[in-house]
Amino acid sequence: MNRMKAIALLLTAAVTNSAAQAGEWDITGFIGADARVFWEDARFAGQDDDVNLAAVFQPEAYWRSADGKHRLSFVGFARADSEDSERSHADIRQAYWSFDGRGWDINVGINKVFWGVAESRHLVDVINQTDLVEDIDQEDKLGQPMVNFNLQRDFGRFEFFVLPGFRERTFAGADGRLRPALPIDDSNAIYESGDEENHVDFALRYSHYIGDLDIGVHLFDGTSREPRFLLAASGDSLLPFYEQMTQVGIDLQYTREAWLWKLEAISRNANSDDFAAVVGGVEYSFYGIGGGSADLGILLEYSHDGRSADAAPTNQDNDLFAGTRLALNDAQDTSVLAGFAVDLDTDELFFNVEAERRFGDSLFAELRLRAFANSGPGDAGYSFVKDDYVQLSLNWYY
Amino acid sequence: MGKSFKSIDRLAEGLARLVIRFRWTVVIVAILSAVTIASGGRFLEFANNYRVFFSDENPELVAFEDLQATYTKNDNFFFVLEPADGDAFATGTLAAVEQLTEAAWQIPYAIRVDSISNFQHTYGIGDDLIVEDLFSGGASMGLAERQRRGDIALAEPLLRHQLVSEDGAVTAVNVTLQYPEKDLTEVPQAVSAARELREQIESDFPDVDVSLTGVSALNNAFAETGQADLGTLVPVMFGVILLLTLLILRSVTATLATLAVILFSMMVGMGWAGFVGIKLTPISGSAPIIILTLAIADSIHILMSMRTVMREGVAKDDALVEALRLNFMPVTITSLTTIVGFLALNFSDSPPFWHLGNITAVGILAAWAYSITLLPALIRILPFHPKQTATASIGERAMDRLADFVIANPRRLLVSVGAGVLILVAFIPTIQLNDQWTQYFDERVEFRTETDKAVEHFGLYPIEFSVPARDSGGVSDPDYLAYLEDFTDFLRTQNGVTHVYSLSDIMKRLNRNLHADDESYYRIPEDRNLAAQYLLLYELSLPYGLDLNDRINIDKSATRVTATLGNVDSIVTREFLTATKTWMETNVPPWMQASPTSAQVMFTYIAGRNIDNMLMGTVIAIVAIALILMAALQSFRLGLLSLVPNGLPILATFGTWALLFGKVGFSVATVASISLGIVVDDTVHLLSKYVRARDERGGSAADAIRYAFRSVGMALVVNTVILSLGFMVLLTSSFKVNVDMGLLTAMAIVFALVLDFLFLPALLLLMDKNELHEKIQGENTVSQSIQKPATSVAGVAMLAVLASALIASPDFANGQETEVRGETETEQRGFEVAARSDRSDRGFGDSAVELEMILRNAAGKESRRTLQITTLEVADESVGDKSLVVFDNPNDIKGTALLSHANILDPDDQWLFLPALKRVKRISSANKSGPFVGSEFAFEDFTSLELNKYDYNWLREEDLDGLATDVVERTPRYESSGYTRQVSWVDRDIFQVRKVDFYDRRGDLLKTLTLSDYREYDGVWRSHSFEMVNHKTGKSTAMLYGDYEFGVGLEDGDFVKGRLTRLR
Repeated sequence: MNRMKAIALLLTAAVTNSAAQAGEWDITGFIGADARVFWEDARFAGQDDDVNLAAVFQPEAYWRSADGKHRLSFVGFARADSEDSERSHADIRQAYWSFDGRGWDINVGINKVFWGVAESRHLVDVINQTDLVEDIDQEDKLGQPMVNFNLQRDFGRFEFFVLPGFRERTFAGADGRLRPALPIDDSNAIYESGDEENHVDFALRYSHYIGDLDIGVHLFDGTSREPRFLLAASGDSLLPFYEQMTQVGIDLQYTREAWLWKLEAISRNANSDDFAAVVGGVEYSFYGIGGGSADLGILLEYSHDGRSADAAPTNQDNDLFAGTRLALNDAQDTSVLAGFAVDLDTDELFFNVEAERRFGDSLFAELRLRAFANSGPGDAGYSFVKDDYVQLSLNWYY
Repeated sequence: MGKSFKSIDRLAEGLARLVIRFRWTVVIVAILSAVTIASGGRFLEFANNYRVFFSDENPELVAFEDLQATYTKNDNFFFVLEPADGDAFATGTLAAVEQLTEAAWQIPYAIRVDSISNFQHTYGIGDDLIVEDLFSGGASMGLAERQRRGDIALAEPLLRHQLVSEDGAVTAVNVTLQYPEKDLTEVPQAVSAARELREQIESDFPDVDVSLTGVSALNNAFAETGQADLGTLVPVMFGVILLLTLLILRSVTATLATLAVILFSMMVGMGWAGFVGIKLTPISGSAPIIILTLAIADSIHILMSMRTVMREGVAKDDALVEALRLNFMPVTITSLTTIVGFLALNFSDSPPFWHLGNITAVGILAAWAYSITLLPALIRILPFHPKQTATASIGERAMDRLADFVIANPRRLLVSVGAGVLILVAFIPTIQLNDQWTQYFDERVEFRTETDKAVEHFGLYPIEFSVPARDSGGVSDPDYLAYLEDFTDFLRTQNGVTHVYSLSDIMKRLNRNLHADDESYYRIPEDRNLAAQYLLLYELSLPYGLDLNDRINIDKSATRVTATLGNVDSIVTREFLTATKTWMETNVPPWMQASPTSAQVMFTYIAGRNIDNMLMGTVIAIVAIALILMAALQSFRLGLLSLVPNGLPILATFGTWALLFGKVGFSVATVASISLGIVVDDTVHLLSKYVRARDERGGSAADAIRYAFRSVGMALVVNTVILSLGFMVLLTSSFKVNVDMGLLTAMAIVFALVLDFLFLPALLLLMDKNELHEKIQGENTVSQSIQKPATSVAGVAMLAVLASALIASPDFANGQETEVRGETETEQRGFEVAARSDRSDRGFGDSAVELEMILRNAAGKESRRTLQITTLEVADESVGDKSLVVFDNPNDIKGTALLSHANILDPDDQWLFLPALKRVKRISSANKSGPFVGSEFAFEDFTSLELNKYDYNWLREEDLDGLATDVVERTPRYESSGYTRQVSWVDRDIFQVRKVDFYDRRGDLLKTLTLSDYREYDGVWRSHSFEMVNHKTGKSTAMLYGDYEFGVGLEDGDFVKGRLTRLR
């Protein structure tokens, strides 16, 4: 009797559960508003006011078939900005179909892929273009059209990417803050490849873990996501120039007790320059500080880049980053990340504070403070030197 | 260099003019020769004995033949009778068995029939030994009698798992045959008789399902499959070729001429096989397909050249001469290298591959001869007018672009293509040799489906041991019998063994029978003479055909032990054989050593043996082909260089195979030499044009590459399409060896084209880079190809890291049983209580559950989160389970996931997935005592549920709210726990934990967990309510579980970090 009951229970559980989850659209997302306050006057003529207001909307929808093999995923994004028309933009972050074949899977459509282990710089993360107007930390990405095939074996995971269609990086407009001295004219981008933005890129990645070591190796061949800048013929703007590149890279993380040791390295081969770059460091956590439940993490990373002046510019050629992350582990998921980066060649400084907390069940607040210092004329960050800001974001999740 | 080119050209020109002049004679001679040789085809027959897969020198075959000479032949039919009512001892089934047992004697060449009905049941009455059929007239027996005899059958070690399934639901009849082996019709005769018998029984007893398998059925399947393949594959192949040639050449004449060439080539190859008396197998039966595929290449090259020349306005005759002049040398060389590749198959250990190699070699030779004689003659006779096109074709323009691309990026291509190939090569060591020979046949073959049914109930792969005794009559020696008993017992414990047939069981039974069926005498007799007498008495009582000659040799100095394996592959078999050898060496005296033998043993080792032998063959083929190329291209350097684009595709193919399939059967060894002979063709064509361009036109390396691409590029693409399609046709074969061979070769051919287009020219450019630089500087173009070794060095270093990581990848799971731990009595008792509780929760396989977590602060204010937990049980208690926690609520963390691979004493492996960034981050799991997502549960409360993570001490019995419980203290054995100890209450009814007190590092009571709402899921108990109260802060957390789902079909692959990115 008991057994019969259990079976009946199981059956009803299976039926009700699958009906509730699979086969139905899961609609989520958030609506938010944010305000940026720049407390110094703009450096360049025509740059906008000191307060920048914006509304954001990110609708998300997911669907999974009853057997779990097919999935559809959609994430849209839109921002309306009060000042900079270039910051007002919309994007499809994700819109893909995925099929799971037990041991292999295939994803077709627009998607986002993250590779890497480091915090201060994302060297090996080359699949998606950066949505730079969202944030200068380069962690916001534009959706990338792709056909992606993955193979999972006992000895690791193999990911193959065919990437038709290139996305141009977004840049602040002439009236926007956080732009170089000459505005970037991104409607007139130039390409090395005759196929321009229709060049089909390829990428291949192998990743695995062996005990405490996580390892990833990749090969990318196609249009570089990082542009070089050429002076427009008119002389009053910069034109992004996207080269072809072949890049191989490796990312490693060794996790031992409270230590995380991280390393990312790439070697890139492009017409302008062949170079190697590396970012590596350590993260150490103190758990339950002061006998409570909060954790305090210490981050230290060094970044070196061997690229010459001919290549796409970077401001992380010989930089040290130090930071700390406080997580209260409370019901509101309160956390604070604070840190600074220093350029060891020019002594330029960059400060960053990010604090976040949930209020109630659905409201999520984030406070960001960014400041630049010590930049002299000719330094990479000199054009941002008046663009210190504090930003408050409120997002309501549904 | 130029001199000998010119003399070959003159030879070709002369030949072409002769053919054109005597075209009718050529056609008639060609037809006559083809028909004459093809007449040998009447001698062709398919072999129907699996022994043809083994050479006479094969040591496993020699040993097996030896054993069969001593005892009886091993050819058999195995009928499996599956009654619908699941009772093998029902009257209907018994009647069927008896009828089948009786009628099976009528199968030609049958020498013995074994079944439960004629099993020689023995029992003692006083000192007399009674021997009788176990079931005689079983259909008329009463229920009680049938049950009694059924129990005897199920208890009998000689029957259980062999002729009757353990549950008595299925039974089998084994028929042993001895063929005179004089005529190939013997096996089909016996098989058709056996099939008729099966149909007869099935129609007489509609409720009994009969499957027919066995060695004779297997032998017959080889012949039937080969014939069926020929019947289906050859027409398909002709269709494919007809379509392709029409499409490519766009000329009916050209298509007809080509078809004539390949048809005649195939006829010559097969006719020759008939004349030399080759017996076909499914493997050599694929020769016609391969000849058809390869023969077409020569014609295509000649005809495409001719078309190009005619488009330039040259008259037909002159164009024909020019086409032959241009192609004579490459066609000759490619035919030669392909022949060398196929002849190398003679090094294989398996005669069917010799036959395949030799037949194909003859066919290719014929194709060469017909292509340079019959083809031009037919083209001359028939109308041939290629369309005039003013501009270069799309193909030529594409080739020009490809050439430009390669010339512009030699270094990049070299690095990226080379890196790609090296990555693939790194996988080759992971290939496992694994075969299961019944699976050589696909489901279209009757033998396969019948065998699949039979193997559900009975083992089908016997492994034989002829175990020698010390002297004549020594099989009755008690020492010998005692060792034999040990050996039998050992075999029964081995993985995959379903049944063991051994004399020791018979002796034990006889000893019992002759002691008035006293159970305590069910052991080896202690006296040699007594044992010998028992045996004699028994043998005298056995009827004709059921004697012990198949078990004991003539002078009674050895017996045969048969271990039957279930549905195992060759890896399991190899493990079994190794384990047996080791056991014998350590546990049995030297005079008693026996080697395993049987068809299964032979098939188990054939893949490895074939590889060993083919290694030499392949090396010789490589050297021979390199020499041919050096001579043909008249360049030592180019000949050597050509090995790179020829060798790499084969390595890349094996690497890809390792990635995609991982397992490979015995066809694999032969693929290297076959594909080497074929893929070299592309290189030959490209290099000969390259050399010609540099020689005759005096161009730079870059110009020569442009010329080579332009003149043969399209032909190579076309050729690759034809060849790969031709080998893909083999994929429709119902014989797996052919399918694997076809797929591997097709892959190698495609890889070869890619490497020849992208890698070889880059190699040539870089080797001749001085000229290239001059050229580039002279033309003042971009000079970006200055070497930057850093990139290549970094790439190589990375590959080295990858390769070593692969080789060093750890071995998981060394299963070990948990013993009772603890020194004192209370410690042991504590462990036992915990272990019983733990085990009553285990065996669930996998589970999925949703739960709600309610966090309450001291003031009682609540916040909620919902999450889903899926768990995969890892049976080995020394390794922890795998689990995945996915958050559903609050909405801002929706999709966030935590993947854990629990370890016992080492920290767990944990990865966190952050959906906003789509980032997977390995996190430290040292934070065991930290709160889990802000709750009162620590990480360790969630993840450290494994039995072996603690030491135990039993404290007392206690009544907990009316439940009788054992109170057990547990202390964490793992590092960085937040607790010094925990006290748990385990009830005595369903053995579940009801309550736990947690004591912090200072020894104070920190938290109390109460578990309630236990529900049972088919023997597995789960609590659906966890309430954790923190006594220090006054906060509490409740976890309310929904209904569990078990057996949702999760597997290891669902718990790997790469899967995390698929959650959102």
